[in-house]
Amino acid sequence: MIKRMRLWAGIFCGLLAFCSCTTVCYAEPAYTNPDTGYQAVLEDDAELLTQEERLALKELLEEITIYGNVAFKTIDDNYTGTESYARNYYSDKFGTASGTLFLIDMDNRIIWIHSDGAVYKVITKAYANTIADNVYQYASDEAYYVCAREAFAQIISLLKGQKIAQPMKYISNGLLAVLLAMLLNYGVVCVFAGAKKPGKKKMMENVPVRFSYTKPLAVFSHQTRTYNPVSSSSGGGSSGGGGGRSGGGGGHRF
Amino acid sequence: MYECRNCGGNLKFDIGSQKLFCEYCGTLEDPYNVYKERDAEESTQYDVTVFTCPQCGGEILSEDTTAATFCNFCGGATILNSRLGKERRPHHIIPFTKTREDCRRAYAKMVRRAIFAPKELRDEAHIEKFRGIYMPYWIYSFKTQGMVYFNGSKSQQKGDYLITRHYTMQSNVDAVYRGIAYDASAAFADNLSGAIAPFYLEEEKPFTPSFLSGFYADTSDVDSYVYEEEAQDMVMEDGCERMSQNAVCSRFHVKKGKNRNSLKKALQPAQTVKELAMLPVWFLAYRKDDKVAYAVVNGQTGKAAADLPVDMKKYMAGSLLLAVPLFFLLNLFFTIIPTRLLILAALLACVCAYVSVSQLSRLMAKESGEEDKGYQFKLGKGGVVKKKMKIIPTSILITVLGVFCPYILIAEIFSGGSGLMTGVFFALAAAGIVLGGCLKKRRIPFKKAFPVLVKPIAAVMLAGVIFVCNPVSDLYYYGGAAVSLCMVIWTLTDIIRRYNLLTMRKLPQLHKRGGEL
Repeated sequence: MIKRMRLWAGIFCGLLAFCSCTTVCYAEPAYTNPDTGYQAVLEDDAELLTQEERLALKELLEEITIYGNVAFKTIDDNYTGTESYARNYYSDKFGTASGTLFLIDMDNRIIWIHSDGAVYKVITKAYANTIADNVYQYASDEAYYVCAREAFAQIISLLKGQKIAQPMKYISNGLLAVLLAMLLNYGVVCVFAGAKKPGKKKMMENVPVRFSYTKPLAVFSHQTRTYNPVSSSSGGGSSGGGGGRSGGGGGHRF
Repeated sequence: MYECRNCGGNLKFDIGSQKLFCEYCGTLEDPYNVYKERDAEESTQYDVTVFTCPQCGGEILSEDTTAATFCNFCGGATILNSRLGKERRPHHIIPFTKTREDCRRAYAKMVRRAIFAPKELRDEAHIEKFRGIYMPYWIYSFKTQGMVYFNGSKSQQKGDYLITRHYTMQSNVDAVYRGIAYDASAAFADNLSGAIAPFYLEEEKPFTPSFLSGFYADTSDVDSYVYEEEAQDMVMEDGCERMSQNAVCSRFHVKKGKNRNSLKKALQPAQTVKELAMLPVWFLAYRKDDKVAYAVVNGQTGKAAADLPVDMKKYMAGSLLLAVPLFFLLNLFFTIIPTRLLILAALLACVCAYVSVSQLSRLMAKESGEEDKGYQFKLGKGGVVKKKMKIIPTSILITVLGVFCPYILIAEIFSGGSGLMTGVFFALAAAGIVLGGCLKKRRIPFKKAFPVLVKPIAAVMLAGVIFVCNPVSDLYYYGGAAVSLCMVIWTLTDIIRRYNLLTMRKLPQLHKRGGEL
């Protein structure tokens, strides 16, 4: 009897160990930075990385915990938009604390960077878009680890106060600046165009006028009746307001 | 020529003293005391030397027989043919009170603001060519006196019915409008004469030809009826405005709809006086190739106006200079993703297409002369513009801005703007511009519109195609945006060229007064 119980206990423990081992493979236990208390989470639900890649990426994530919380998440199924998934996931993991999330949504084929708190002041929506633009090509080539590594490397650079390459931003802004300058100058040309014919009111301002009249007298003439039904509908009121949202981010299709 | 009674020298009108002045012996004479034998006759005409430009056929009058060496209509430097002629004698004249120096200052002040104007316009030698010309003007005066009857009403909602009580309003009106001035020369563009208005007619004097000595005068070749209706309409509108402000009138809704029309009709002037007057204008022509631009300064008030073309080199240099701070400003606040950049480029192309069609429409109106009643009269259309050309771009504006833009701004820009819908939007926008702007009203022939619209429409269509294809790679969006933006820049340079066409005028011989070459 005891032997049988030991056998069942052994099978149960084995199953438990197997299950926990499986979970460990795809969701690395959260690392907590002992100095800052910030956490790093790596959940590769879509199984895009190998074990070695996950370990390498985890080291990179740990580096970010000096500045804030960090998460790497991959998903296969997403029934909401990528942005709202990222926002909800981040909120579930870290609440409104400072940090950043890099999400690979295989369902919509979008990579997304979401940040909040103090980190969001550095990794702004514009920078999130720029980083996503810089790395989406790796995801297109199915080099998901390289994609994540490059994204986090650029995030670290920004958090350290360094710059990242944004060549297209400068080229686009350069072209836009030239165009806006031409439009503005055209506006200047039109405003200061020499000959403008004045309006009738302006012309009348300088005409000597003598105008007098006696108090008008109104004499009743007749009465008319027109069918004019009055609308009885009334507008509905609105109540309450939405809660404030913090944080934000940007992404790119791949 | 008026001879000095002391030395026989040529007397010329002196602006400072407002008298005729002999530059040889310094004698001053009252213009009304000095006249040639023929001036003394009471006549509806006066004798004058008529100078005709052999290049453009433009005619200019003078009391002086000295040869004129350039034409102020076409700007051509040539000896003008002269002959003695008779001209319709004006009733009044306002003598010049602003000197050539005042005129130069007023002009220089105006040109200073036109930073992209060609440097020739600031050239001292060019400004020296300002010529004092008395321009003929029709002066309209109107009088309304007596009892006027018009409609008033009061409305009240009762259940599902609107009860309106109608009244006949009556009032004794005494209205006198004195001196609404319109130029009576077909060569003097309405926009220029309007821009230097007003002239203060209380300073006018009875006309005598000696005032013209030392100056030139333009011929009056537009009949008085040409502007009469417009002037009368202005007077009736003004009277309507004044009366409808009355408390009783506002209680009876006189200002609204049909009531207003009845009041306006009631205020139709009973008496109209039309008088020809010579008003002082400093005139300058700037000629470039086969185009001419005019600058005018009011010889009484010093108000200046001019056709100010744009020097393309200056414009481009100025734009590049302004682009530098804008570039740094954009970099500080603006990071644009490729899809939005493409949307922006396509929207700017739409704006350029709109401006281009608007310019083309104005250009056609200008070429047909429908903006200038005097010119219309000269063309034999009697100064009556049957129907003002409908400004075609309004329909585009309503279509593009009213229907599509809210959609694109809300749905597309905020969502990153990619996909089929954005592509369809731009395809529709392009079609809207072409159909709404050119074909629907059938005012702008397609062959005229095509070269104007091909660049911006190509930019819009390119954006549409990219959005419909919806590629993943940013290269397509950046490439499309770069091509579109270059198209827009190219279109903008066309817009400036067209602006110059709108600003400058054809040489008068091509369309004016049937000049004999």
